[in-house]
Amino acid sequence: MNSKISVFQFYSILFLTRLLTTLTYIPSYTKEINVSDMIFQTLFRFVFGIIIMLPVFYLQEKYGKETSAQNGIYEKTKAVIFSFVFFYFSVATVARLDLFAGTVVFPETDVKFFLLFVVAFCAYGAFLGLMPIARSAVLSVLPVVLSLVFIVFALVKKIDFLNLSPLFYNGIEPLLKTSLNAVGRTVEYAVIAVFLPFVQGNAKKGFFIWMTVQTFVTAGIFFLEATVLGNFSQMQLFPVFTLASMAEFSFFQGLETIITGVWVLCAFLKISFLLYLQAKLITDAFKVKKTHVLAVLGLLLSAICLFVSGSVERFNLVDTSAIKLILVLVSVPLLSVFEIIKRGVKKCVKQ
Amino acid sequence: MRKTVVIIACVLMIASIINRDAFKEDISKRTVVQGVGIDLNDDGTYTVTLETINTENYSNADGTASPVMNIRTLSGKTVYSAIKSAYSIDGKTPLMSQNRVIIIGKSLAEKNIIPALDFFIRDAENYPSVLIAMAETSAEDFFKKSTNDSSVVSRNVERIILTAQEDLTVSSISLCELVNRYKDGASSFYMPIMSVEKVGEKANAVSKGTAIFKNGKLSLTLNEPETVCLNFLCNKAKKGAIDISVNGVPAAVSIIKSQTMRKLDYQSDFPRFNIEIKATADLAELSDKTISSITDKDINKIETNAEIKLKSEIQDFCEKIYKVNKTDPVGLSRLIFIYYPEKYRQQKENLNEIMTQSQYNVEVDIKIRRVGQDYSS
Repeated sequence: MNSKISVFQFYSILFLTRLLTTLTYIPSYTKEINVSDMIFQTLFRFVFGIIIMLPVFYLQEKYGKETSAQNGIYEKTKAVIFSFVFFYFSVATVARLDLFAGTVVFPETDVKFFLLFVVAFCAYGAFLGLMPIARSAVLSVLPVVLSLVFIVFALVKKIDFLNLSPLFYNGIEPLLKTSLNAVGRTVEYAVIAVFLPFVQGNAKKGFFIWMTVQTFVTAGIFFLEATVLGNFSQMQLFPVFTLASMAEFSFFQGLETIITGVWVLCAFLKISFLLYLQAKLITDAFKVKKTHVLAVLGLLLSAICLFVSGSVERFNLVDTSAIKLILVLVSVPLLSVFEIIKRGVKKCVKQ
Repeated sequence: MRKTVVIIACVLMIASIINRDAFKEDISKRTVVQGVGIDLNDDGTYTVTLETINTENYSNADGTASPVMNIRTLSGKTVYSAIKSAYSIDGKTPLMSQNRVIIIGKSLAEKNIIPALDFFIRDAENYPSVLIAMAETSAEDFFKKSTNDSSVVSRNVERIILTAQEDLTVSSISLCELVNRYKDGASSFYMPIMSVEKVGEKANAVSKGTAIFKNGKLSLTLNEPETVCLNFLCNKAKKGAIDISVNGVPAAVSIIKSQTMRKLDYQSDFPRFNIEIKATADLAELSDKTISSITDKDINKIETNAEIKLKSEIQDFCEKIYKVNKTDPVGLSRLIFIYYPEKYRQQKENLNEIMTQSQYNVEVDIKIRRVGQDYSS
């Protein structure tokens, strides 16, 4: 990977891609947890996030300047593992967009054409390269933040503290489970693990700022959801969308269109970026043409998503929390620990 | 930079076509629903009354225009099938996103309204902020009797309910609030009662108190003074008039601002609710024959009388709903859940019974801000 981007560009992409995960979360994964615990679990996931990223930063700190052979078996295996992780998350993102479109936007219309359209555009975005994606993310951050702030102001009047629930009412277990699920849904940890050497600037400081910002933003969204929607949010497929539909400001009513715009923008950047990473990893490891890889990935992604689009049960197959958690845990801390041991042993043998 | 512009253009294109109503059928093939009335028939089927916009509005040769709105009565085994059967009338599918109100017929209210609301929660076209009210008789009757050529019944109802912020005698509840109150331990909620009043030739929708529901069934109806108490207890009373008497003279104070603090503490096994109402008001009228100026002494008297009146009415209201009717439309039992979760866990099975044994202490503090133009210091 030769492309390099600045810390701000990198974390701008990650801010938007992680925001997408929050905006599109489905409460069926968090049914056991009370609405107030949802706010609190953001702190737990912050801690879990730091813990699983420790080996990645240690590896970067200790061996960051050393380069390893791109064509080694280990490097190829690593490229395949990460590509699979990114591909799985790409499928999950498109499937979620499909579920949203098919349930909320055009429930009575076949959305298959729309899916193909999105995948084709995202593959094209990935083909254009890293810089356009990074610049688009930087340009998008301000409008996205302003849109969210506008929605927050439009919801303030609807806050009802009687909708809150006592903390840890169902014990700490659902809270830990939900936090771990959230960690599993954060493909950005795997992105950082792969991309860290190619970020110019203080990536460690950027990581802490990104983690803090996304924790606050997520906690803020969950706070509004808890106080405005209360338990009603647990009965909605996409509660953040429902929340936006409750927003009223002057003559503006139902601001869900803004959320839809933010959602599509973030989804486009996320899928494009993940496709770009997959193409780059495979191209570097196996010396194949980027266009060919993107074409194959695009076709594969379209085929799987068209299959998944058929029923909501199939959606569960590609959006399973446990699989996502395993993928993130294997690709981020375990692989990093393995690499630390491998490099340590190699150093000892040399000495 | 060119590539960045291409990416942003792609995103904007997708975002613009994916908004809520895009990609849907042509609007001329949809019936825009403004209000829905639901009645339950004896055989268990639903009669759904839809108030829809007449998109094929025309003028007749004699100069008379066709009505602005259409009222359709449909039936089905479920609310959804009844609404969908509108298609067979004119080949148009109902568009629910513009629905303002759901009017529940009395027959349904007496059985259980919860099953009839599922469609409005499940279907993404419906908004959770849609308002809910109960008709004094049947919902079909309400729509048919209160309709006239120039007005939209649902819009009138929406306006009346939304004046709850300005008029203490009107209560209001949205679908989202109703579901939350129902899912609480006490399973009680309320909704305004709508009726039809005929003034000369014209019939209009009017608010006639509040209906209290327990476990989805109509349990009690409140008159307008009781609705004022409900609004204060729910912290929904923001503005409105209160009639009092000063030395036997009728007077009216206009509430400008009000805040209700609901606190809770436990005395042995039973909770004690401390309700503090702080309001700022203006003296709107003192129907005194002598038209004398208001002095500071009078202001104190007006404040005290207003406080005493409101306090005793709210206290009586608590007695009625909690101790006699055993319901909790205000949601005070939720405070037990929030502040004493362990007690709630122990008592949630017989929460309504616990609420009958509870104490309700009401404190009212009204400050008169202005007395109008006739003031003598």
